Amino acid sequence: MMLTCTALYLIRNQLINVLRLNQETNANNDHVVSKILSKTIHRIVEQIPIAIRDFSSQYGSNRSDSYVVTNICSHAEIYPLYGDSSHALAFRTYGPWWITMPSYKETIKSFSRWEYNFTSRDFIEIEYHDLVYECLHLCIYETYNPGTLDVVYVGQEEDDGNLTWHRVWTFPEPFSIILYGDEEMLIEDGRQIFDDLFPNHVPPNNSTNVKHISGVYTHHTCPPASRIPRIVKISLKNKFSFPTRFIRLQFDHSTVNYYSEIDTVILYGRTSPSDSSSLSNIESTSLSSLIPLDEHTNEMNTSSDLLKLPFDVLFIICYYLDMRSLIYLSSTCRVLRTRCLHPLQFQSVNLQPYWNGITNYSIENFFRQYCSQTRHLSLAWTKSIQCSSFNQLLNICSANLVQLNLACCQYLTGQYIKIIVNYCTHIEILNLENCISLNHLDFIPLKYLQHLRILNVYRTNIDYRTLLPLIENNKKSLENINLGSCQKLSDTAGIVKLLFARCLNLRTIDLWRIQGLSQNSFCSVIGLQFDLSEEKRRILNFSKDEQEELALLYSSVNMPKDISSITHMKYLSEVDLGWTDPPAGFIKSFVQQVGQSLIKLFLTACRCVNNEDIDAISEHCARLRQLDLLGSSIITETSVENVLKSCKDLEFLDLSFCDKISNDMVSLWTCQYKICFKRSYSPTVSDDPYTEFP
Amino acid sequence: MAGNKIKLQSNDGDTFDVDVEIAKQSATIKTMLEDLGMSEEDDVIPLPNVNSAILKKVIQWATHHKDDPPPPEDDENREKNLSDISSWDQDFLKVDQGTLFELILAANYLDIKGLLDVTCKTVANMIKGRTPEEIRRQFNIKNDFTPQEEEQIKKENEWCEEK
Repeated sequence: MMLTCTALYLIRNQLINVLRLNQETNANNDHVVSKILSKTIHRIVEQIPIAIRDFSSQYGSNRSDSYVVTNICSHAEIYPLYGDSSHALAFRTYGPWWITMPSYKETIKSFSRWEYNFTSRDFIEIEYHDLVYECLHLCIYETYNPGTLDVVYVGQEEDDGNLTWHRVWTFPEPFSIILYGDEEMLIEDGRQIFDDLFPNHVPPNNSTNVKHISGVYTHHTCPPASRIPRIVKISLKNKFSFPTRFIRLQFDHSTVNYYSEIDTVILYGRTSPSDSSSLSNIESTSLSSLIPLDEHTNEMNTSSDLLKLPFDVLFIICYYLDMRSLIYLSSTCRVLRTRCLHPLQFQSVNLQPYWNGITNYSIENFFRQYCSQTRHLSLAWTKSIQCSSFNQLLNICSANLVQLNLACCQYLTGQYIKIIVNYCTHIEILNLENCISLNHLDFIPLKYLQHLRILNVYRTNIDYRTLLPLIENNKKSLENINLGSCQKLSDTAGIVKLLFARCLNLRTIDLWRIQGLSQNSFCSVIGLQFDLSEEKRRILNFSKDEQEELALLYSSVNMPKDISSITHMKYLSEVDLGWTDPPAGFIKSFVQQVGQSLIKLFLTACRCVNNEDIDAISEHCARLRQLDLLGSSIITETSVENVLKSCKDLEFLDLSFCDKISNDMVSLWTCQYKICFKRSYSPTVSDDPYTEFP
Repeated sequence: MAGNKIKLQSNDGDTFDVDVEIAKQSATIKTMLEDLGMSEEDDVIPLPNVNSAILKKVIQWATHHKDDPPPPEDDENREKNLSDISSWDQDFLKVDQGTLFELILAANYLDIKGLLDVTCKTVANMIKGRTPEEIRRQFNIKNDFTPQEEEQIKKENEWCEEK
């Protein structure tokens, strides 16, 4: 019944051929064409994604094809198997583990208004090849840790090429799941727990995240779904009235047990306009859902109790409201308009939950009036704010602003960075994660900032030209730096060396997947013996111009030749070295010097880390809470057992792909220690779809 | 020490015997006792802004919460979650709107932070997730905007509509 994408193209080509033939021969066979056309028109077409337009994070590296978002641009490759596969999409984080760390809490604590409607943590925007005139449904193939879908949008293409997004589904609205065997099951309330749906299933005896999730605000249950392969089917029928080929999915993965993985996302619908009357039906239903305001308000008692409250009490009430409720309250009458929309109510402005509504108009006509006292501002996920509007807004906030979050703002250019640096000289927390529209030179003005405490430039093109002087200028204040997935740092070794040598107050450092840190460089940053000539050769590999630039920068920041120790980093508590490749012995020396303050150590795929390193961890890291050892083929059960015995606060331990550690041992430990052990497995098949996987 | 009591007098003349420790949850009363050196034995503390019915409720609330730990100092741990009102408080606050607002004013005057917070949260819950028209109906607010003003406000507020 269903036509695959390629099949559709074949028919298309046939059509084109027929048409061409028609023109050439001028034959009188119009009816043949129309017959083929009418056959295609009413077919339901199934499309796989052709591109990812935008996304917030990914586990995989930009240059690889493992665990990257583009992995969903193919037919189902993993389904109906269930398990961890590098061919799936995986986001950078999952569960409560990142959001319960002090470094993350520090970035959200000032956004005091509680946005109870917004729980999304990651998003992707998917493009399909053909416009769909009548969408039927969307099928999301969840092949590992399912149940994280939070919101679905469809994109409407405007004449100027911009997209406007329309929300069509929000968790826990009804959806279906398809288990293999094509059995479809309607889930009326996504919050139902799995035991309600499958009373006879056999749950795995794995430890869960329940305790840690209790501190996280989420709409999802824990775990959000059972660990079985499934297709989530979201109905799009009669939800909107325009043709589309764009879908945006938002996820809340804060309650899953391990990385949530998606195989593909298939869009079903008719790709030719039809005379179907359903379109006009939608128009009328969507219109009727706009409830008109009551024209004649009853004569009311003008002395509302709410209006009699003193300003400071009303202020407390307003403080407890989310932004939308505050705005609605302020729209009820004149007195409340003035009292509620006081600049003091806008000291922290988190617009991420409203990313889809923030326009140049709203900035110029609304926020400009109220942001004169704003200290904390988030424009994360917003789209297309013009430079002039951005300029106006930051001009109003100017030196008051201490925190600015611009995560995933793909409209940023160098001009925006200049505006930030010009107006907001007191900025302490800056988040530019995933702003890939900025090139390496665009970042340079940031070096003039002097009060930076927290800098997040995850997955950007920032390089040493900005970072070396920035680190020197902020060496006393810098507490938290995220350089994860920055692949164009160029002088990575110099940057890390300067961080380690100068930033006495550094608490958190994220170097996940950074490029260009050789084993020799690793040794040079913590006082281990290293090869000076190799260091010289490294510099010689730069272009002539870059060498000159580097020499100038090195002398201006007074770059240390070597570092004898890093024991001055007394507060270092969260360290992510995932997918970098420190040599054997590095971790031993590292934790001997700074281990006593560490609470998180991620050594994901650091394949040289050996048993001596691990033994040093158990000896020196008494406060350790999270340890990731994924992918080690050297580490033995004895060493890990030492860690389990001596690190009493340990709550998270990833032992996936640790070849020398048996599944049986992990099962035994799971019963013995109250720790969330993480252990992935390759996609496998189960005979009984109602039995959860281990 | 149990038994150490003071007398509180409402504005309609009723007096209530209350444990000092319970009464001291009110920062206003605490100040009167400690800083102004009012003696606990014989003096009656007049509370001209609180009537007898409300004072009775306030004492009931303070008695139930007398052993609560002091609120955390740092902002980080302050609970912003509106749904975290304890079930006892929820039952306690199942009152008509007039009483609720009188309780707020009393908590504000007596400076009882816990009671003020929980009553304000309750009002916030009555506002949360409602349209302007629903809020007007809920609190008896008269719409005094002209149609033109209303149109303008709608336009300015468009960014926060659920999309």
